Amino acid sequence: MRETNAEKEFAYEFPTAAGIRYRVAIGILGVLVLAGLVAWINQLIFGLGETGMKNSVNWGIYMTNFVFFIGISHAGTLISAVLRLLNAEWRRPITRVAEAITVFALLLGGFQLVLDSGRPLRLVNVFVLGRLQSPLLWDLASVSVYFASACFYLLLPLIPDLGALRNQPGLTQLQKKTYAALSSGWNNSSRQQQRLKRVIGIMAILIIPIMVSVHSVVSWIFGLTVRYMWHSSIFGPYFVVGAIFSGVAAVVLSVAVMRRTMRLEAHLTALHFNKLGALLLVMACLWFYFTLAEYLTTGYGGMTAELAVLKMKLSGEFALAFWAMILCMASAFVLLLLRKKSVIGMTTAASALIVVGMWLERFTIIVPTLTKPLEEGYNFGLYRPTLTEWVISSGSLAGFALLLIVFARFFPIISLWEIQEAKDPTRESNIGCTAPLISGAGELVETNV
Amino acid sequence: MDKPSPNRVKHSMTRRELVQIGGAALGVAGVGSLVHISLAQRASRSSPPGRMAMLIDLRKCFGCQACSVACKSENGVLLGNFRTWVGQSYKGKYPRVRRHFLPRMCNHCEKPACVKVCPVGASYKRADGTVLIDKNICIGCRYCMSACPYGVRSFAWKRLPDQEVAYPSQTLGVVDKCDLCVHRLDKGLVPSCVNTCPAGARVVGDLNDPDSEISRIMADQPVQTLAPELGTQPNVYYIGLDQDAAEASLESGVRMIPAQATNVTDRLGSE
Amino acid sequence: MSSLMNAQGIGGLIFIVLFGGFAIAYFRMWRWVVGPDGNQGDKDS
Repeated sequence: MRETNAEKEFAYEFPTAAGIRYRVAIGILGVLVLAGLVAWINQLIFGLGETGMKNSVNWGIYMTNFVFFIGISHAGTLISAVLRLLNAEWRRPITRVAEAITVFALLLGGFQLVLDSGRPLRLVNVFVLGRLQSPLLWDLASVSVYFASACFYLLLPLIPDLGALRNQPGLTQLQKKTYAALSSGWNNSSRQQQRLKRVIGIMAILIIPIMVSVHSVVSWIFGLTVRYMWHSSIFGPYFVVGAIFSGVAAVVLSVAVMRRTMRLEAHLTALHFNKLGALLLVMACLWFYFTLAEYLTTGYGGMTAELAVLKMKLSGEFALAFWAMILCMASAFVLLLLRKKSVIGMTTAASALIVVGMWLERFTIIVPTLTKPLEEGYNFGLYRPTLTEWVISSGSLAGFALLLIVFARFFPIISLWEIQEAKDPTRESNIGCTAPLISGAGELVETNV
Repeated sequence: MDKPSPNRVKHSMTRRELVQIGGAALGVAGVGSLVHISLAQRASRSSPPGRMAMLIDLRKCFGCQACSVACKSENGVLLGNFRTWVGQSYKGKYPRVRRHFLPRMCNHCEKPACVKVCPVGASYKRADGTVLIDKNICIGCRYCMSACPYGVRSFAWKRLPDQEVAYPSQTLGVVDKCDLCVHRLDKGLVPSCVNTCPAGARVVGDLNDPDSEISRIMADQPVQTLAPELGTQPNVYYIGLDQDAAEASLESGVRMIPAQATNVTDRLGSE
Repeated sequence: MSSLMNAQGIGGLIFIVLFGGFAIAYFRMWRWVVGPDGNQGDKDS
């Protein structure tokens, strides 16, 4: 058994026993999800009046969450697909978590529409009676197609790893059965490897226009109306840029957490955070540019009704949210510029700020336009989210985190065969039914193929 | 692999045929039900053709809100919602000040933004020009409320059991708005608000009929609509609409409480 | 054309066809990758 230092550093302990931190995390997140469910049932019984929404501001933080989650889901596509096409080698340890984030974000994002619906049981009507003219239908169509694509794009590169690990000691019975089922038929022959690479290549190209269409269509839910400061031609590209921006930040956050809690410091190094930080910097520049273009056009042009909405954002009822957003983004920008001082810490901090800032961005796009500057009153005045909305929202976020953590527990969160492939491109991936890369004890075991 | 025996081939062929037939049947059933539902919708939505419109003479309106009340009572509109209301604003400074009254309601637009965006077709424009809501299909997504630039739609936010019994159309979780009292129009009556207005400020009728009262009045009088630049082509016309009052009405809110009328002069002067 | 856009059900139908088409395509791609190896059907593209 030869174990060089290089091979030892490669060792990834999987499966690991469920430590105390895992159990605590699951416990807390589970409670939040449960609370969200209870609040939702309450809302189903007593109606959407449990929220702070009203006849003027008829969309609130549920729609904000919807756009936010769909935005986050663009992470996987960019990192997994685009970086793959660009042959950026550093993507290898993070493709799987990015792909997983995409799937779970789409799930929770789509669910926000169910939460926001006045008659959720009637949602079937969209399939039976759907009208082609409605941007909401385009949205449902493109998000569903993206979801199917994301699931496939997560599953496909998972197959070789599952095939290699299906006899790994330490797996539960359920895991063994699942692995066997998902990787059934995989025998790691060169033909299958070629085909796998071929299909992954096709998916990488195919999923990019799907991704662009998804958030463009989401933006057009707002952009195609005639409401002041919604009816803006910049919305399509603006939302896509914002989505990629928030998505990459979400990946950085997840990777940072994973790195510590799963002891993956050897795989997820300063190099990765540096590259991701550079990517975030580029997206930040784009985001600032689009934001400037949007507000400059509105403000300088000076149409009265539009100015009223702009005033609410800059100095009125929504000034707090707006300037908090700018502060988050600007601080993140500075942190990213200076990230060399402490790459991992600063990039992670910047990402946290970006995620918060992007949520605020969605909020300040949706709510001010619907608000009219009115006095307080029964059905008038400022929208204030109620406890129900906060509990349901935190339940959604907790649900997303829960799915991700459980996935990382029961599936290899790093794409092992891709890393192996990089280490030795001249020979075929040394994985398959009989040659595991890792052992339960975390030592690299090399056997004959 | 060995050459498959003839029996085996025949068996799998038959199974494949079965699957194909099953799939085709499912497809036909699916398409059939879609067609059926679409046709069913069309049938219950039919009406003689026309262009129903309302004309409101602002020289006559004095803001008594009788129309608001009558509409509420006729249609069992839920607490906090209004299908029609009279917005108030004032211009000038005492003693040179004037109050403007602006009755507002669904404009039953020719190019309704709400109909465009409804994902299930619950919002629709009938052949006679009225824009209606099918409360049996509405999923409560409130996209129509967001799309309407006039803010005339309301939502059944809370469950109120008494009203549900009295007015089954006011069910939880669906959108509501003025429907020109089609249940009265279809019987040859005028809407409740038109019926009730003590000043006779409201007139309803078919613009496509040159002999209707509304067509005759509009042939003589200059009329205005709200926010014509938005492209919705509203069918609620006003005589004597003050432009500032109109803008204030759209900008300042969907419903203005009479006790707190908007001061238009202040709004103009502030920029 | 506008009646197609506005009609109920057409959008839903197109949605199902689109989604179903992609799902089927992905399923077939999956079968192509992990399908049986060996000499049957040289599907090399």
